[in-house]
Amino acid sequence: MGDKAGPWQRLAAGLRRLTPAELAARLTCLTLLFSPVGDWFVRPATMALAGAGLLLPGAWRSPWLWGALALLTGARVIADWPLADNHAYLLFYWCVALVVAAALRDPEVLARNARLLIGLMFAAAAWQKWTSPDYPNDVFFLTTFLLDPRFTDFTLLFTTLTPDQIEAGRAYLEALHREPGTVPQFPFELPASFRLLATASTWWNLFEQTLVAASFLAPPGSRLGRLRDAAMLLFCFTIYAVAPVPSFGWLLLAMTAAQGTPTLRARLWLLGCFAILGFYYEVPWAGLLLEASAR
Amino acid sequence: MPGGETVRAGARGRLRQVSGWLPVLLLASGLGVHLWQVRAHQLSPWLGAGFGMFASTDVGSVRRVEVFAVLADGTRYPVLLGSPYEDALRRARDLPSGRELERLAGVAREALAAQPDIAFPETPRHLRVEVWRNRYEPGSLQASSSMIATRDFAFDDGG
Repeated sequence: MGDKAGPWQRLAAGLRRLTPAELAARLTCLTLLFSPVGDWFVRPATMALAGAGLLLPGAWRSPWLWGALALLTGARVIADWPLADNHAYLLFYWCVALVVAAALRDPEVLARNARLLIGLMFAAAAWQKWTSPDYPNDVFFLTTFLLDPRFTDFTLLFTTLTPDQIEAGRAYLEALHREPGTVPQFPFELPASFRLLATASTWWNLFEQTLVAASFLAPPGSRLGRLRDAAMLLFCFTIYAVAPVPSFGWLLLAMTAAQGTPTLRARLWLLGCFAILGFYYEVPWAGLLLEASAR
Repeated sequence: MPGGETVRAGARGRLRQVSGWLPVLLLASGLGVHLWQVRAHQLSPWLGAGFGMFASTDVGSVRRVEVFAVLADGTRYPVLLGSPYEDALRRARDLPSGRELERLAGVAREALAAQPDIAFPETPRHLRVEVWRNRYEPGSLQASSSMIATRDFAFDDGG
Protein backbone atom coordinates (compact mmCIF):
# COMPACT_ATOMS: atom_id res chain seq x y z
CA MET A 1 0.00 0.00 0.00
CA GLY A 2 3.09 2.22 0.12
CA ASP A 3 2.92 2.99 -3.60
CA LYS A 4 0.54 5.93 -3.93
CA ALA A 5 1.36 6.65 -7.58
CA GLY A 6 -1.71 6.82 -9.82
CA PRO A 7 -2.02 5.05 -13.15
CA TRP A 8 -0.67 8.03 -15.08
CA GLN A 9 2.39 8.30 -12.87
CA ARG A 10 3.01 4.57 -13.22
CA LEU A 11 2.60 4.81 -16.99
CA ALA A 12 5.01 7.76 -17.12
CA ALA A 13 7.55 5.94 -14.97
CA GLY A 14 7.23 2.84 -17.14
CA LEU A 15 7.67 4.86 -20.30
CA ARG A 16 10.72 6.60 -18.88
CA ARG A 17 12.30 3.26 -17.99
CA LEU A 18 12.08 1.84 -21.53
CA THR A 19 15.21 2.11 -23.63
CA PRO A 20 14.65 3.35 -27.21
CA ALA A 21 15.43 -0.16 -28.49
CA GLU A 22 12.87 -1.77 -26.18
CA LEU A 23 10.18 0.75 -27.09
CA ALA A 24 10.89 0.18 -30.79
CA ALA A 25 10.82 -3.61 -30.39
CA ARG A 26 7.54 -3.52 -28.45
CA LEU A 27 5.89 -1.18 -30.97
CA THR A 28 7.04 -3.48 -33.78
CA CYS A 29 5.43 -6.46 -32.00
CA LEU A 30 2.22 -4.43 -31.53
CA THR A 31 2.25 -3.54 -35.23
CA LEU A 32 2.56 -7.21 -36.17
CA LEU A 33 -0.30 -8.11 -33.82
CA PHE A 34 -2.61 -5.32 -34.97
CA SER A 35 -1.84 -5.91 -38.61
CA PRO A 36 -0.66 -9.49 -39.19
CA VAL A 37 1.21 -10.02 -42.44
CA GLY A 38 1.43 -12.79 -45.02
CA ASP A 39 -0.77 -15.68 -46.05
CA TRP A 40 -2.74 -17.87 -43.64
CA PHE A 41 0.26 -20.10 -43.01
CA VAL A 42 2.60 -17.18 -42.16
CA ARG A 43 0.13 -15.11 -40.14
CA PRO A 44 -0.33 -17.33 -37.07
CA ALA A 45 3.44 -17.71 -36.69
CA THR A 46 4.12 -13.95 -36.93
CA MET A 47 1.32 -13.27 -34.44
CA ALA A 48 2.60 -15.89 -32.00
CA LEU A 49 6.15 -14.52 -32.21
CA ALA A 50 4.97 -10.92 -31.82
CA GLY A 51 2.87 -11.95 -28.81
CA ALA A 52 5.90 -13.67 -27.30
CA GLY A 53 7.98 -10.54 -27.89
CA LEU A 54 5.45 -8.51 -25.93
CA LEU A 55 4.62 -10.89 -23.11
CA LEU A 56 7.75 -12.90 -22.32
CA PRO A 57 10.24 -10.94 -20.21
CA GLY A 58 13.35 -10.03 -22.19
CA ALA A 59 12.15 -11.78 -25.37
CA TRP A 60 12.24 -8.47 -27.25
CA ARG A 61 16.05 -8.59 -27.19
CA SER A 62 16.36 -12.17 -28.47
CA PRO A 63 18.09 -12.52 -31.86
CA TRP A 64 16.17 -15.80 -32.30
CA LEU A 65 12.81 -14.05 -32.05
CA TRP A 66 13.77 -11.40 -34.58
CA GLY A 67 15.57 -13.96 -36.75
CA ALA A 68 12.36 -15.99 -37.00
CA LEU A 69 10.34 -12.86 -37.80
CA ALA A 70 12.92 -11.81 -40.42
CA LEU A 71 12.63 -15.25 -42.04
CA LEU A 72 8.82 -15.08 -42.11
CA THR A 73 8.65 -11.52 -43.43
CA GLY A 74 11.42 -12.33 -45.93
CA ALA A 75 9.51 -15.44 -47.07
CA ARG A 76 6.53 -13.20 -47.76
CA VAL A 77 8.68 -10.95 -49.96
CA ILE A 78 10.19 -13.90 -51.84
CA ALA A 79 6.82 -15.65 -52.33
CA ASP A 80 5.54 -12.69 -54.37
CA TRP A 81 8.91 -11.59 -55.78
CA PRO A 82 9.27 -8.86 -56.96
CA LEU A 83 5.64 -7.75 -56.69
CA ALA A 84 5.23 -7.41 -52.93
CA ASP A 85 4.35 -3.88 -51.89
CA ASN A 86 6.72 -1.37 -50.32
CA HIS A 87 5.50 -2.15 -46.80
CA ALA A 88 6.51 -5.83 -47.05
CA TYR A 89 10.07 -4.88 -47.98
CA LEU A 90 10.43 -2.27 -45.24
CA LEU A 91 9.11 -4.67 -42.59
CA PHE A 92 11.64 -7.29 -43.69
CA TYR A 93 14.56 -4.80 -43.61
CA TRP A 94 13.46 -3.63 -40.16
CA CYS A 95 13.29 -7.18 -38.78
CA VAL A 96 16.81 -7.74 -40.13
CA ALA A 97 17.91 -4.55 -38.34
CA LEU A 98 16.42 -5.90 -35.10
CA VAL A 99 18.20 -9.27 -35.55
CA VAL A 100 21.53 -7.59 -36.22
CA ALA A 101 21.24 -5.23 -33.24
CA ALA A 102 20.13 -8.07 -30.95
CA ALA A 103 22.96 -10.34 -32.11
CA LEU A 104 25.57 -7.59 -31.74
CA ARG A 105 23.93 -6.37 -28.49
CA ASP A 106 24.40 -2.85 -29.76
CA PRO A 107 21.39 -0.48 -29.57
CA GLU A 108 23.42 2.15 -31.43
CA VAL A 109 23.39 -0.10 -34.50
CA LEU A 110 19.59 -0.24 -34.28
CA ALA A 111 19.34 3.55 -33.94
CA ARG A 112 21.64 4.11 -36.93
CA ASN A 113 19.77 1.59 -39.09
CA ALA A 114 16.42 3.15 -38.12
CA ARG A 115 17.68 6.62 -39.14
CA LEU A 116 19.17 5.41 -42.41
CA LEU A 117 16.30 3.11 -43.40
CA ILE A 118 13.75 5.89 -42.86
CA GLY A 119 15.96 8.53 -44.49
CA LEU A 120 16.78 6.45 -47.56
CA MET A 121 13.25 5.12 -47.95
CA PHE A 122 11.77 8.64 -47.83
CA ALA A 123 14.50 9.91 -50.16
CA ALA A 124 13.53 7.21 -52.67
CA ALA A 125 9.81 7.98 -52.21
CA ALA A 126 10.36 11.73 -52.63
CA TRP A 127 12.65 11.20 -55.63
CA GLN A 128 10.03 8.95 -57.30
CA LYS A 129 7.50 11.75 -56.86
CA TRP A 130 9.71 14.63 -57.98
CA THR A 131 10.74 12.73 -61.14
CA SER A 132 7.38 11.13 -61.96
CA PRO A 133 5.82 12.46 -65.20
CA ASP A 134 2.40 12.48 -63.46
CA TYR A 135 3.14 13.88 -60.03
CA PRO A 136 4.26 17.53 -59.92
CA ASN A 137 1.63 18.43 -62.56
CA ASP A 138 -1.23 17.20 -60.26
CA VAL A 139 -2.32 14.41 -62.63
CA PHE A 140 -1.56 11.81 -59.97
CA PHE A 141 -3.99 13.18 -57.39
CA LEU A 142 -6.60 14.26 -59.96
CA THR A 143 -6.80 10.65 -61.12
CA THR A 144 -6.18 8.88 -57.80
CA PHE A 145 -8.95 10.75 -55.96
CA LEU A 146 -11.32 9.46 -58.65
CA LEU A 147 -9.90 5.98 -59.15
CA ASP A 148 -9.21 4.83 -55.61
CA PRO A 149 -12.43 4.21 -53.64
CA ARG A 150 -10.52 4.68 -50.37
CA PHE A 151 -10.43 8.43 -51.09
CA THR A 152 -14.05 8.86 -52.19
CA ASP A 153 -15.45 10.22 -48.89
CA PHE A 154 -12.48 12.57 -48.47
CA THR A 155 -12.91 13.87 -52.03
CA LEU A 156 -16.66 14.37 -51.63
CA LEU A 157 -16.10 16.16 -48.31
CA PHE A 158 -13.59 18.70 -49.59
CA THR A 159 -14.75 19.31 -53.16
CA THR A 160 -17.99 20.04 -55.02
CA LEU A 161 -17.82 16.74 -56.92
CA THR A 162 -20.87 14.47 -56.73
CA PRO A 163 -20.83 10.65 -56.33
CA ASP A 164 -22.11 10.31 -59.91
CA GLN A 165 -19.25 12.43 -61.23
CA ILE A 166 -16.72 10.32 -59.34
CA GLU A 167 -18.27 7.16 -60.78
CA ALA A 168 -18.23 8.58 -64.32
CA GLY A 169 -14.65 9.81 -63.92
CA ARG A 170 -13.51 6.40 -62.65
CA ALA A 171 -15.18 4.56 -65.54
CA TYR A 172 -13.51 6.92 -68.04
CA LEU A 173 -10.06 6.65 -66.47
CA GLU A 174 -10.16 2.86 -66.27
CA ALA A 175 -11.50 2.23 -69.78
CA LEU A 176 -9.15 0.87 -72.42
CA HIS A 177 -8.95 3.14 -75.47
CA ARG A 178 -7.54 1.03 -78.29
CA GLU A 179 -8.26 3.45 -81.14
CA PRO A 180 -6.37 6.72 -80.59
CA GLY A 181 -8.69 8.89 -82.73
CA THR A 182 -11.87 7.80 -81.00
CA VAL A 183 -11.16 8.59 -77.36
CA PRO A 184 -13.92 10.75 -75.89
CA GLN A 185 -13.16 13.76 -73.72
CA PHE A 186 -13.20 13.55 -69.94
CA PRO A 187 -16.91 13.38 -68.99
CA PHE A 188 -17.18 16.62 -66.98
CA GLU A 189 -15.42 19.91 -66.29
CA LEU A 190 -13.10 19.52 -63.29
CA PRO A 191 -14.29 21.90 -60.57
CA ALA A 192 -11.87 24.43 -59.07
CA SER A 193 -12.23 22.88 -55.59
CA PHE A 194 -11.08 19.51 -56.95
CA ARG A 195 -8.09 21.04 -58.73
CA LEU A 196 -7.18 22.94 -55.56
CA LEU A 197 -7.36 19.77 -53.45
CA ALA A 198 -5.13 17.92 -55.93
CA THR A 199 -2.56 20.75 -56.00
CA ALA A 200 -2.50 21.08 -52.21
CA SER A 201 -2.12 17.31 -51.79
CA THR A 202 0.70 17.19 -54.34
CA TRP A 203 2.81 19.90 -52.75
CA TRP A 204 2.07 18.89 -49.17
CA ASN A 205 3.27 15.35 -49.92
CA LEU A 206 6.38 16.57 -51.72
CA PHE A 207 7.21 18.94 -48.86
CA GLU A 208 6.63 16.41 -46.07
CA GLN A 209 8.45 13.50 -47.65
CA THR A 210 11.43 15.63 -48.63
CA LEU A 211 11.55 17.06 -45.10
CA VAL A 212 11.47 13.60 -43.49
CA ALA A 213 14.22 12.35 -45.82
CA ALA A 214 16.43 15.39 -45.25
CA SER A 215 16.01 15.39 -41.47
CA PHE A 216 16.73 11.67 -41.05
CA LEU A 217 19.76 11.79 -43.36
CA ALA A 218 21.20 14.97 -41.82
CA PRO A 219 23.78 14.52 -39.03
CA PRO A 220 21.77 13.73 -35.85
CA GLY A 221 23.11 16.75 -33.94
CA SER A 222 22.47 19.27 -36.71
CA ARG A 223 19.56 21.71 -36.66
CA LEU A 224 17.82 19.77 -39.46
CA GLY A 225 18.61 16.43 -37.81
CA ARG A 226 16.94 17.54 -34.58
CA LEU A 227 13.69 18.05 -36.51
CA ARG A 228 13.39 14.39 -37.47
CA ASP A 229 10.94 13.20 -34.78
CA ALA A 230 8.67 16.20 -35.34
CA ALA A 231 8.85 15.72 -39.12
CA MET A 232 7.80 12.08 -38.78
CA LEU A 233 4.94 12.92 -36.41
CA LEU A 234 3.68 15.61 -38.78
CA PHE A 235 3.85 13.13 -41.65
CA CYS A 236 1.93 10.43 -39.77
CA PHE A 237 -0.70 12.77 -38.29
CA THR A 238 -1.56 14.24 -41.68
CA ILE A 239 -0.97 11.52 -44.29
CA TYR A 240 -2.65 8.65 -42.46
CA ALA A 241 -5.74 10.74 -41.80
CA VAL A 242 -6.35 10.36 -45.53
CA ALA A 243 -4.42 7.26 -46.66
CA PRO A 244 -5.85 4.26 -44.78
CA VAL A 245 -2.64 2.22 -44.36
CA PRO A 246 -1.95 2.43 -40.61
CA SER A 247 0.34 -0.59 -40.52
CA PHE A 248 2.92 1.31 -42.57
CA GLY A 249 2.59 4.30 -40.24
CA TRP A 250 2.91 2.09 -37.14
CA LEU A 251 6.08 0.57 -38.55
CA LEU A 252 7.52 4.03 -39.23
CA LEU A 253 6.71 5.08 -35.65
CA ALA A 254 8.37 1.94 -34.23
CA MET A 255 11.48 2.74 -36.26
CA THR A 256 11.35 6.37 -35.15
CA ALA A 257 11.24 5.22 -31.51
CA ALA A 258 14.54 3.35 -31.98
CA GLN A 259 16.43 6.53 -32.75
CA GLY A 260 14.21 9.18 -31.17
CA THR A 261 14.65 11.52 -28.26
CA PRO A 262 14.05 9.42 -25.11
CA THR A 263 12.12 12.13 -23.22
CA LEU A 264 8.70 11.46 -21.75
CA ARG A 265 7.06 14.17 -23.82
CA ALA A 266 8.53 12.81 -27.09
CA ARG A 267 7.35 9.32 -26.20
CA LEU A 268 3.84 10.48 -25.35
CA TRP A 269 3.61 12.19 -28.71
CA LEU A 270 4.82 9.04 -30.41
CA LEU A 271 2.34 6.80 -28.61
CA GLY A 272 -0.46 9.31 -29.17
CA CYS A 273 0.29 9.24 -32.86
CA PHE A 274 0.35 5.42 -32.79
CA ALA A 275 -3.14 5.46 -31.26
CA ILE A 276 -4.46 8.14 -33.65
CA LEU A 277 -3.48 6.01 -36.65
CA GLY A 278 -5.73 3.26 -35.33
CA PHE A 279 -8.51 5.83 -34.86
CA TYR A 280 -8.09 7.07 -38.44
CA TYR A 281 -8.38 3.50 -39.70
CA GLU A 282 -11.29 2.32 -37.59
CA VAL A 283 -13.41 5.49 -37.64
CA PRO A 284 -14.60 6.61 -41.09
CA TRP A 285 -14.31 10.25 -40.05
CA ALA A 286 -14.66 11.69 -43.57
CA GLY A 287 -17.81 9.64 -44.19
CA LEU A 288 -19.30 10.68 -40.84
CA LEU A 289 -18.58 14.37 -41.49
CA LEU A 290 -20.06 14.01 -44.95
CA GLU A 291 -23.25 12.52 -43.49
CA ALA A 292 -23.42 15.23 -40.84
CA SER A 293 -22.98 17.99 -43.41
CA ALA A 294 -25.73 16.48 -45.58
CA ARG A 295 -28.29 16.67 -42.73
CA MET B 1 48.65 -19.09 -30.89
CA PRO B 2 48.28 -15.37 -30.16
CA GLY B 3 48.78 -14.40 -33.85
CA GLY B 4 45.89 -16.67 -34.92
CA GLU B 5 43.64 -15.26 -32.22
CA THR B 6 44.41 -11.73 -33.39
CA VAL B 7 43.48 -12.65 -36.96
CA ARG B 8 40.25 -14.29 -35.79
CA ALA B 9 39.39 -11.32 -33.60
CA GLY B 10 40.05 -8.99 -36.55
CA ALA B 11 37.81 -11.09 -38.82
CA ARG B 12 35.06 -11.10 -36.17
CA GLY B 13 35.36 -7.32 -35.85
CA ARG B 14 35.03 -6.85 -39.60
CA LEU B 15 32.04 -9.22 -39.69
CA ARG B 16 30.42 -7.23 -36.88
CA GLN B 17 31.03 -4.02 -38.78
CA VAL B 18 29.62 -5.34 -42.07
CA SER B 19 26.59 -7.02 -40.49
CA GLY B 20 25.71 -3.73 -38.82
CA TRP B 21 25.12 -2.28 -42.30
CA LEU B 22 23.17 -5.28 -43.64
CA PRO B 23 19.68 -3.66 -43.52
CA VAL B 24 20.90 -0.61 -45.43
CA LEU B 25 22.67 -2.81 -47.99
CA LEU B 26 19.45 -4.77 -48.47
CA LEU B 27 17.47 -1.56 -48.99
CA ALA B 28 19.99 -0.24 -51.52
CA SER B 29 20.01 -3.57 -53.42
CA GLY B 30 16.20 -3.73 -53.43
CA LEU B 31 16.03 -0.19 -54.79
CA GLY B 32 18.52 -1.06 -57.56
CA VAL B 33 16.55 -4.17 -58.57
CA HIS B 34 13.31 -2.16 -58.57
CA LEU B 35 14.74 0.52 -60.87
CA TRP B 36 16.07 -2.14 -63.23
CA GLN B 37 12.72 -4.00 -63.28
CA VAL B 38 10.81 -0.78 -64.00
CA ARG B 39 13.13 0.08 -66.88
CA ALA B 40 13.64 -3.39 -68.36
CA HIS B 41 10.31 -5.09 -67.66
CA GLN B 42 7.77 -2.28 -67.09
CA LEU B 43 7.25 -3.18 -63.43
CA SER B 44 4.55 -0.92 -62.00
CA PRO B 45 6.41 1.74 -59.96
CA TRP B 46 3.97 1.14 -57.09
CA LEU B 47 5.36 -2.34 -56.48
CA GLY B 48 8.71 -3.78 -55.54
CA ALA B 49 11.27 -2.20 -53.30
CA GLY B 50 11.45 1.26 -54.88
CA PHE B 51 9.02 3.02 -52.51
CA GLY B 52 7.17 4.46 -55.51
CA MET B 53 3.73 3.85 -54.06
CA PHE B 54 1.45 6.89 -54.52
CA ALA B 55 3.89 8.43 -57.02
CA SER B 56 2.60 7.40 -60.43
CA THR B 57 -0.65 6.83 -62.30
CA ASP B 58 0.87 3.61 -63.63
CA VAL B 59 -1.05 1.39 -61.22
CA GLY B 60 -2.77 -1.96 -61.71
CA SER B 61 -6.29 -0.53 -62.06
CA VAL B 62 -5.33 1.34 -65.25
CA ARG B 63 -3.36 -1.51 -66.76
CA ARG B 64 -5.13 -4.15 -68.81
CA VAL B 65 -4.04 -7.62 -69.91
CA GLU B 66 -5.65 -9.14 -72.95
CA VAL B 67 -5.17 -12.66 -74.31
CA PHE B 68 -6.24 -13.64 -77.83
CA ALA B 69 -6.31 -16.87 -79.80
CA VAL B 70 -5.14 -15.86 -83.29
CA LEU B 71 -6.04 -17.81 -86.44
CA ALA B 72 -3.82 -18.14 -89.50
CA ASP B 73 -5.69 -15.30 -91.27
CA GLY B 74 -5.12 -12.96 -88.29
CA THR B 75 -8.64 -13.20 -86.83
CA ARG B 76 -8.48 -12.80 -83.07
CA TYR B 77 -10.70 -14.36 -80.44
CA PRO B 78 -10.46 -12.99 -76.90
CA VAL B 79 -9.61 -15.59 -74.28
CA LEU B 80 -11.40 -14.65 -71.06
CA LEU B 81 -9.65 -15.92 -67.96
CA GLY B 82 -11.66 -16.13 -64.75
CA SER B 83 -10.79 -16.02 -61.09
CA PRO B 84 -8.71 -19.26 -60.97
CA TYR B 85 -6.21 -17.45 -63.20
CA GLU B 86 -6.18 -14.13 -61.30
CA ASP B 87 -2.67 -14.53 -59.98
CA ALA B 88 -1.13 -15.14 -63.43
CA LEU B 89 -3.11 -12.19 -64.83
CA ARG B 90 -2.03 -9.92 -61.97
CA ARG B 91 1.64 -10.85 -62.34
CA ALA B 92 1.58 -10.30 -66.13
CA ARG B 93 -0.20 -6.98 -65.63
CA ASP B 94 2.17 -5.63 -62.99
CA LEU B 95 5.40 -7.10 -64.38
CA PRO B 96 4.98 -7.87 -68.09
CA SER B 97 8.37 -9.55 -68.50
CA GLY B 98 8.83 -12.35 -71.05
CA ARG B 99 8.69 -14.88 -68.24
CA GLU B 100 5.39 -13.65 -66.81
CA LEU B 101 3.79 -13.35 -70.26
CA GLU B 102 4.89 -16.91 -71.04
CA ARG B 103 3.46 -18.11 -67.74
CA LEU B 104 0.14 -16.43 -68.57
CA ALA B 105 0.11 -18.01 -72.04
CA GLY B 106 0.64 -21.42 -70.44
CA VAL B 107 -2.27 -20.78 -68.09
CA ALA B 108 -4.45 -19.65 -71.01
CA ARG B 109 -3.65 -22.87 -72.89
CA GLU B 110 -4.66 -24.88 -69.83
CA ALA B 111 -7.89 -22.90 -69.52
CA LEU B 112 -8.78 -23.54 -73.16
CA ALA B 113 -7.90 -27.24 -72.87
CA ALA B 114 -10.21 -27.48 -69.85
CA GLN B 115 -13.14 -26.18 -71.92
CA PRO B 116 -13.32 -28.37 -75.04
CA ASP B 117 -16.75 -26.92 -75.87
CA ILE B 118 -15.07 -23.69 -76.99
CA ALA B 119 -14.78 -24.18 -80.72
CA PHE B 120 -12.72 -22.08 -83.08
CA PRO B 121 -13.35 -22.28 -86.87
CA GLU B 122 -9.86 -23.72 -87.16
CA THR B 123 -6.99 -24.47 -84.79
CA PRO B 124 -5.50 -21.15 -83.72
CA ARG B 125 -1.98 -20.43 -84.90
CA HIS B 126 -0.86 -18.74 -81.72
CA LEU B 127 -1.81 -17.04 -78.49
CA ARG B 128 -1.16 -13.32 -78.23
CA VAL B 129 -0.75 -11.63 -74.87
CA GLU B 130 -0.99 -7.83 -74.75
CA VAL B 131 -0.51 -5.51 -71.79
CA TRP B 132 -1.85 -1.95 -72.01
CA ARG B 133 -1.72 1.06 -69.76
CA ASN B 134 -3.50 4.40 -69.69
CA ARG B 135 -1.95 7.85 -69.58
CA TYR B 136 -3.67 11.18 -68.95
CA GLU B 137 -3.08 14.68 -70.26
CA PRO B 138 -2.30 17.28 -67.60
CA GLY B 139 -5.17 19.72 -67.24
CA SER B 140 -7.85 17.93 -69.25
CA LEU B 141 -7.23 14.32 -68.05
CA GLN B 142 -7.79 13.26 -71.67
CA ALA B 143 -6.96 9.52 -71.65
CA SER B 144 -4.88 7.53 -74.08
CA SER B 145 -3.94 3.86 -73.99
CA SER B 146 -0.67 2.38 -75.14
CA MET B 147 0.56 -1.16 -75.40
CA ILE B 148 3.54 -1.67 -73.11
CA ALA B 149 4.22 -5.34 -73.85
CA THR B 150 3.08 -7.96 -76.32
CA ARG B 151 4.20 -11.44 -77.26
CA ASP B 152 2.98 -14.31 -79.42
CA PHE B 153 3.20 -17.92 -78.28
CA ALA B 154 2.65 -20.96 -80.50
CA PHE B 155 -0.75 -22.38 -79.65
CA ASP B 156 0.24 -26.02 -79.32
CA ASP B 157 3.72 -26.30 -77.84
CA GLY B 158 4.22 -23.27 -75.64
CA GLY B 159 7.15 -22.04 -77.71
